[in-house]
Amino acid sequence: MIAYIIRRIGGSIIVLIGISIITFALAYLVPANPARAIVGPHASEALVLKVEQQLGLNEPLPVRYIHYMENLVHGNLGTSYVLDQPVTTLIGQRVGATAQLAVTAWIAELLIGIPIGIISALYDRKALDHVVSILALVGISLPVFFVGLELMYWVGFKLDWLPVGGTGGFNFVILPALTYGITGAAYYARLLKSSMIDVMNSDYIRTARAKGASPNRVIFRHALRNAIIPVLTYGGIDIASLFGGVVVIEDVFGYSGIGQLTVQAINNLDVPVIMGTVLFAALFVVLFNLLVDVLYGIIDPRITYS
Amino acid sequence: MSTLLEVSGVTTSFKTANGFLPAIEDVSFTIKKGETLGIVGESGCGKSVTSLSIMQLLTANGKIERGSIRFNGRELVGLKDNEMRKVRGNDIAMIFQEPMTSLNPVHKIGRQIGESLRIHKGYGKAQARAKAIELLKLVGIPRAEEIVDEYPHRLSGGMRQRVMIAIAMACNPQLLIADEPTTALDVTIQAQILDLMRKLKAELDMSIMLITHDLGVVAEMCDRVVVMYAGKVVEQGNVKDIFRNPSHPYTVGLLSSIPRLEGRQERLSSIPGNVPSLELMPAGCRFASRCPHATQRCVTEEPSLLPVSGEHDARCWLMDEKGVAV
Repeated sequence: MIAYIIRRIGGSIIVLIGISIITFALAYLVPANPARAIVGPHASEALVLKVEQQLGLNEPLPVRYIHYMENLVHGNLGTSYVLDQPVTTLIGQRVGATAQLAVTAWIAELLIGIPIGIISALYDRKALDHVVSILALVGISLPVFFVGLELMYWVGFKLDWLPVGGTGGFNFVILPALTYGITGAAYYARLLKSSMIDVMNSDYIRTARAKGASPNRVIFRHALRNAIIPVLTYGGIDIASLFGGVVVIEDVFGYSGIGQLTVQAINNLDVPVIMGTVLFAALFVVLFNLLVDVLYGIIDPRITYS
Repeated sequence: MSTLLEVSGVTTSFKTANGFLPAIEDVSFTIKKGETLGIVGESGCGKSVTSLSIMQLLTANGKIERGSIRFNGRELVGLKDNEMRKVRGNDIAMIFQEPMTSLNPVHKIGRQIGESLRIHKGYGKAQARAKAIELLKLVGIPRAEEIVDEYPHRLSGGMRQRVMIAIAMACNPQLLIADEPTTALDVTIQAQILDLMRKLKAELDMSIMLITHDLGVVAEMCDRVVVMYAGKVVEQGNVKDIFRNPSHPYTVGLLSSIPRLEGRQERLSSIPGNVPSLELMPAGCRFASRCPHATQRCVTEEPSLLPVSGEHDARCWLMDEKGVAV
């Protein structure tokens, strides 16, 4: 197991290097000049050249990449062209808010999606299944910004229970997380429903019932753990992408997280920030994938690592 | 011997595209204390539905429409689920055909054996584990102290069926329903499992309802036999009577399709045709279309169980004209 994890970490580093090369190349190959973007469309050519020199943009792309990676190894992600602050600082300021939102949003999805999945599996093709399935379908079909705005209006404004937007304590996280939960839960529900139906028809569930196990015991002790694997797979990808920032939701709620930082950086062609946020997101994708693979083995003893 | 289980007039139907159709109809038999009853018949004749009706473990589209199932005199049909749960795994235990898939892959063996003890007898964790080790030893599993902490996928099919038997034995049931317990196992393992069941039956003083399509197993294990065909009991009686004097043409066909080692090697005989489907049950005798002795009466009128001798009955018009040799 330990050997497996070490091997996987080695592989992950290679993946991250690959991503850094691709992002670096793409960011600088777009037909726009970061120096021009910084000084504005009316500045003189001379000024653009000067800025290019300052930022080291006059050097060939591979040389710049090597420089970047050298700095990266020392924990330096460069300085934002626009905000004039180290990228590590910019990310550091937002990582707490993003992590809080990501985890809460993910939990909201699970709390809505898993019960719906279980109910619709147990009442497959009966009235209750249709009701919850339609609700889930509505949730999945509504645009994120619409759900966000409705929640903002009703819960934030009319009822005045929670802040309408902004960044702060946990209160500020609830509505954006709920928005994500409502719009994302249906995927979990659908995955769990189909695997739960399979599991409930399996021989070992009949064995459990033949022992006199109660319905709750059958569902939660015997079926759920066997049915949860597909949910886990999707859950890992999902939370990793949440850590990369939830662009639309952050935008709707004026929530200052990684997503907002990324969008601003892309608009301004602020390459060091783009690189930093992309690598940050990639790091989480890689980490959560590893975590999920390890969890598979814990949940299902038939899965071994070799 | 007093009666342990009395099944009378049970009809169990399943919801299909054409409405509710009976998979078993008017099934009646009894199991006495300490007795092994064999239920035989080919696939689809209703053996498993009968056992699942007794356990009330039918799938959601199935229901017992009529009849009574009395266990120790107590009516089981119509019991609330929470009452029936106290019977399952405690008074009546069941083992299944597929040992490879009948154990939960994510739980340790010990936990799966101990579960019914925790449900029915209020055992604690440690107590259940200790008893699980004891049960593993009882069913002849070597290194019981290690196996108790293993997961099912580490065991062979035969070992898993032993574990299933240990699970069934945990609460010392009065009745063990074994649904084709050896069908999925190879022949040497089959013999071991049957020996084990016989030994446990004697030691623990229980009754067994053994469902099988294998008449060899019946001859070896059972005191009495119920032969089922297309959802109905077509013949029942003592093992000796059934084997010496099979009276329903279906039973005769089953017996003659057993391969024999001694004597002239001939082509193995088989019963032509198939069990009629639920949708297309004939009005008369359900076996008529495959029966070499069928008459016009068989096609139009269904016989009831007619006495052959003593406790030996057969559902065949031939019995009406006593003494007709089949």
